[in-house]
Amino acid sequence: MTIEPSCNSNAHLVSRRSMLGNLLAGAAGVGAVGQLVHPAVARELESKQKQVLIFLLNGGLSQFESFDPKPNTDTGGPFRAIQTAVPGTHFCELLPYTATVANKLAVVRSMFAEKVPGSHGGAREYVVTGRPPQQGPYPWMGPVYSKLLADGGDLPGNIHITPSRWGPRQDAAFLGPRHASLVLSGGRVPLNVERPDAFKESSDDARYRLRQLADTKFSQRRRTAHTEAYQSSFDQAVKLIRQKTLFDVTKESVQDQDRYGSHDFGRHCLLARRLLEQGVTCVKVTHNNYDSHMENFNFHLEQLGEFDKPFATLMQDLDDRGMLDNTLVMLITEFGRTPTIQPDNGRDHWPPNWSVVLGGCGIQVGGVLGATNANGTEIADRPVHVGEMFHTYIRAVGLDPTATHSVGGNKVPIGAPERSAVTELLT
Amino acid sequence: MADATESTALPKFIAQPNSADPFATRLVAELKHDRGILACQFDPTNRYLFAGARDYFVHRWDLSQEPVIDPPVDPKKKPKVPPIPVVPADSRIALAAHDSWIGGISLFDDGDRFVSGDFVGRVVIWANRTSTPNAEFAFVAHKGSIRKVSVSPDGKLIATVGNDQAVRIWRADAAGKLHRELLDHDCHVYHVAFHPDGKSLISADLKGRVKHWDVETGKLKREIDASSLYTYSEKYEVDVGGIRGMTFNADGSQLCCAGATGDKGIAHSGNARVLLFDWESGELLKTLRPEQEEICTAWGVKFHSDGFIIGSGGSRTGGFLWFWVPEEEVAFHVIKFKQRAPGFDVDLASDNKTLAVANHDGAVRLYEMSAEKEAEQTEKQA
Repeated sequence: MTIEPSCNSNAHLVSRRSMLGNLLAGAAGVGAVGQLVHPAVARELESKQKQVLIFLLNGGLSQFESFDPKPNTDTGGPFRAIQTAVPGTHFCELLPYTATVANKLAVVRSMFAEKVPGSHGGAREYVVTGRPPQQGPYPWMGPVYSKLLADGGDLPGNIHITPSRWGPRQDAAFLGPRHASLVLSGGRVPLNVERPDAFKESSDDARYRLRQLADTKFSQRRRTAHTEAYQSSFDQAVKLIRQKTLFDVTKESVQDQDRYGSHDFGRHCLLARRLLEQGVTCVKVTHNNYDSHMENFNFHLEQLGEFDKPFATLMQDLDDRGMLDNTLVMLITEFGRTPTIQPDNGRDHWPPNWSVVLGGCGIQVGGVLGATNANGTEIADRPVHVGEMFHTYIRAVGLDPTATHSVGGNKVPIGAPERSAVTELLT
Repeated sequence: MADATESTALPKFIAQPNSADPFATRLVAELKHDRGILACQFDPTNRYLFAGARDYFVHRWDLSQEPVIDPPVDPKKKPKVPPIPVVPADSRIALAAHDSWIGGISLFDDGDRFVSGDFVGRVVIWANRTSTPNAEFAFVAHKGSIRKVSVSPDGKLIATVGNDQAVRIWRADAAGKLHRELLDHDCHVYHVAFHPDGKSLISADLKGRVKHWDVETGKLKREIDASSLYTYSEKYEVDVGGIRGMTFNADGSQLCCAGATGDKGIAHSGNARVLLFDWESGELLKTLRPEQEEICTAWGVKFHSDGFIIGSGGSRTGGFLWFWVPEEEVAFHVIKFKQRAPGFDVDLASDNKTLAVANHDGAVRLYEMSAEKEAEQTEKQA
C-alpha cells in the first residue's frame, strides 16, 4: 500500500517547500536545533515536544536471562537472580547495571501475542505495529511518532541506529517515505554526506534550488507517491549534509565515550543521547543476536554483557538531564524464548510470553506488571497483548491511539481498534 | 564423494581378544535424571559415577546396584526394541553445595576426593570417603562461570578456568589458597587439563587458542593453534565455537581438542571436528571428522589405551559417539543415539570397556565396548 496524497493543492506544496527552504537557509553551517527555529517557537517545542527512545533487542530476548529470571528451576538456566533498585524486584544477574536503574523502569512480564508468524520479521512487525502483519502493512512506531510528534523541521523525525549490514526498511507504510526511518547502519554517518571538493556550497545550493523548481513544476500535474518519495529523499539528503556533525559521537566528551564503552553498542547509545539532545523525535537503537537457538546462555552472556552498562548509563543520563520527563523509553523484542532448554543449550522462539520494559514520560515506573508461573511456562497474571502495548506506547506520549490516520481520504485507526492502552502502566 | 570402493578402503580398527571392541559398543544401562546432564566422570574403582547437570547438585550414582528393567506398561505387548536396564533411582544421591549448574567435575586419582565448579564461579572440594560425600572446602574461584576444573596427577593442585578469562591453579589441601594465576587469554576460557607429567597445564578458549603453561613457574611456554574450531561470524558479528573437549593420551604424547568448524551463525552448530596434535611439536597431525557430515558439535573426547579415540557430541538433530584411529581423519565407526540428544561429555571407566555419556535429555548412558556374553544372551532369551 502506498500513499495517494489526499491533498493535491499547490498551496500545500508551496507552503511546505517554502518552509523547507527557509530552514535550509537558516541552517547553513549550524548544527544545533535551537538555532534553527524561532526562539519562542523553540521554547514552546521544548515545553511540549515528546521524544521516544526505542531499544529493539533483535532476535528474541530471553525473558529468563533478563527481566523474568527463574533460577533453580527446570527452565531457569545457570544464572542467578539479583536484587534491583526496586525492593522485591529481581532481574537476571546478566543485568547488574540495569538493575540499578530499575526504579526508572516498568517491567511487563506477561507479554504475549497469538498467531504470530514464524519469521522474525513478521513477529517484529506485530510488535511495532500492534497488528498481525497479515493485516498490514501498517506503519511502525518510529514513523508514527515522526508523523504525529515531529514538526517537519530540519531534523529527521525518525532515526534508526543499527548494527552493520542493516539496510533501510519500508517501515512507514502509508505514512509515506518522509517518515521512514533514516538508518544509520553501524551507527555511522550516512554515506556521501561530504560534498566533493570540486563543488562549493553556493553552487550546491543553486543546484538544489534548480532541482526544486523542476520538482515543483512536475508535481503540479503528476504528483504521486513515487514523486513524493524522490522529493523526500532529496530533502533528507540536504538536511543530512547540513547537519553531518549531528551523527558524530566523537564530538562528545572523552569521559562520556569511556562511560558508554568503546564497543559498537556503547557508541550507538551515546549517539542516541546526542540525537535526542539535538531534538530528534524518535530514535531507535537495535542490538542484535538474541536469536539463540544454540548456546542461549553463552550468547545472552555476551550480548547482555554489552547491552547492560550503556543502556543503564543512558537511562541515568536522560534522568540527570530531566529528559525522562519528555522522553518515552521502551525496550522491546519480537518474542520470548522457550522455557524448555533445547539440545544445543539453546532456547527457541516463544510468542506465548516475553518481557517488555518501559520508562520515562507517561509511565508509572518502579513496578512490575503481570507475572508468569514458577518456572515461566505460562502467564499467571495480567496477560498483556502486543496490540494493547502499542496503544500504551502511543498514549504515553500524550497521543490518542484511537484517533485515525488520513490515508487517501480514508481514516485508518492508529492503534488496532479492538485493543486499548494498559492503564496500569500509565501515569 | 566417497563411493563404495573408497568406503571399504577406510581403515578398520581390529579389536584384540578380550579388549575393547568399538564395533560391539552397546547401550547397557541408563542413569536417569530429570535435568540435562552436562558432565560425567567415573571414580577409579568404577563403583561410582559423578555427574553435573542443569541443576545445582553434584549427582553420584552407585553403580554397584544392579540395573533393572522396568516392567512393560502392557505386559501382553512385546516391546519392539529390547528395554534398556535402568540403574535404580535410589542409587543416586544429590550433593548440595553449589549455586548454579555444574560445569566441571574432576576426581583425584585415589578417588577419595573430587572437585566441582559451577556457573557462578564457585569451587567445591568434596570428600568421597564416606557413604555420602561431604563438602570439605568451598570458595569463589572466578567471577562468572567456571567451565572446567582439573586435578593434577599428584593430587596436589586444582586448575580452574572461567569467563573472567583467567586460569587459576589452587592448592588442593587448602581452601582458596591460590598457587598461580595465569593471565593471557582475552576471551572466555572453556577448558583446562594437566599434562600427565604434572609439570604442564593447558588451557583452551573460545577462540581456539590452547595455551601451554609451566605449572611451577606459571610462565606461558607456547600456544597451540586450534583456531579452526572457532569462527568470527561476519554476518552476526559474534564469536562462535570454541574448544569444548580436550584430553591427553596416557603418555602425554598427543593432545585432542574437540569442537566444531564453520560459520553457521548463532542458531546452528558447525561441523563436528576433533583436532589431534603432537604434543612435543605442537603440530596438527589430523583433523578428525565423522564419515557423514553432521551439523553438530563434538563436545567430549577421550583417548583409549588401545590406540583409538572416542568422541561424543551432537545437536538437536541427534547425538553421536565417534571412533577414530589417529592415522585416519574419517571415523571408522559411529553410533547414532536413538534419542535426539547430544552427548555433552564422555568418560571411560578404568576397565577400558565401559563408556559413560552425559546426555542432554536427562540421562547418563553407559555403553560397553564388548560383545554381549553368550551366557547373558542365553539367560535373557530364557
